[in-house]
Amino acid sequence: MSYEIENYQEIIDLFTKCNIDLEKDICFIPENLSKTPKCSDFVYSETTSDLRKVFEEDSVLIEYLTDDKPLLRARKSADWFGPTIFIGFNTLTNNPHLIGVFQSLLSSYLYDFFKGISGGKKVKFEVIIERKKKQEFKKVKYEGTIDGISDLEGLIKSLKK
Amino acid sequence: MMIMLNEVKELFEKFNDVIAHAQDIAIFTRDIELQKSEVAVLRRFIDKSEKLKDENKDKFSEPELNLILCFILSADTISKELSMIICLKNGQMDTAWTCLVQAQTQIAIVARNHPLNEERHWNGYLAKLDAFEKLLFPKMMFASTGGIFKKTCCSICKLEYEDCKHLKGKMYSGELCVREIHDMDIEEVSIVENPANKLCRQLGVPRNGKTVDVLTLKQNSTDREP
Repeated sequence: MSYEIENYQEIIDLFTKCNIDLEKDICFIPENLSKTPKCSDFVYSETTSDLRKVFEEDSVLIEYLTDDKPLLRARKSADWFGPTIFIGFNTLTNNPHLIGVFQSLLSSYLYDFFKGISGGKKVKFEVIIERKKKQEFKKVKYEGTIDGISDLEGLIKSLKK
Repeated sequence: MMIMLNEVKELFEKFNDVIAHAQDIAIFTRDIELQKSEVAVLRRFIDKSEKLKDENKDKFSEPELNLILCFILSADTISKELSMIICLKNGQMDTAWTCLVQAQTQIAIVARNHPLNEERHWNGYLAKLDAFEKLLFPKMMFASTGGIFKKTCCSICKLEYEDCKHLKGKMYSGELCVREIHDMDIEEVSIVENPANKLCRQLGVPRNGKTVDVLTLKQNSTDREP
């Protein structure tokens, strides 16, 4: 299992091209954000649907980047391809407990998801962190088993400036 | 602890008896006629359980209805296991594989939804089905499709799946939620080792300049899917 962390400053330009306000607390980011400026063409992982519902059950509201009807990409693989989640500066500083809640809900959902399935249980998802308001961004890529998700909260909080 | 009405308790006891007996018959060396009879016994249990569930949707609680659905799927899983063994004995390898995959799929649904959450029971059975896959069948490649959903509906409430609170793969009052795909643009098909659907599989393999059945290595498949 592995976490990769990289700078992700290009998100500022991408948001600008799509005319999207950078004032986001927490939301799902489309997979093709860098490929199209047209919000109605944004494609998200279809796992976003269930994650959104799971979080909502626990009163954690995570919406799509825009109000456009989301197109959802399905991959009929045994691996779980999760969405890209954006965690804004406000969330990191004013509601850091949400990160723990997010990690806990995600782990619990994935534990359930893979129940009854033998063989490799690989998980992939990304988290974009706004380290400095509207200025500095990091992308955290995760690929590995469910167990590795337990490090996520600590990792995200360590990226906070 | 789950509180159950008497009818559900009685069904639970019947389930335990039926499954215990069926598992004793679901061993390769058992007589094939006994195995065929056992499939019929399981079918009768499933029919009886479905009738009880359907007639008591307003009377039984959601966990009770879900428990009955778990009984149905578990009984059908053992039935599929028996059918797999019967097919193997009859040389119907394609159908044997289908039965195995259906058994694996169903028991995974039960593991995710059983109200009593007895994971220790499923893990042993899952390992058994996994062993069948690895020991009785050759390694195969599978097709995994990827595409964009244009319209999907929830099988429980019939609303657009995005707009409802139901989760696919979960049981609600004895019904399994499925994300029905009504419109989709296919983007790609990949060949993978670990697919979501093991029924989308490699059928042939090149051998001595010809294509032969991947399971039997014979030129033609010996069975047809039911």
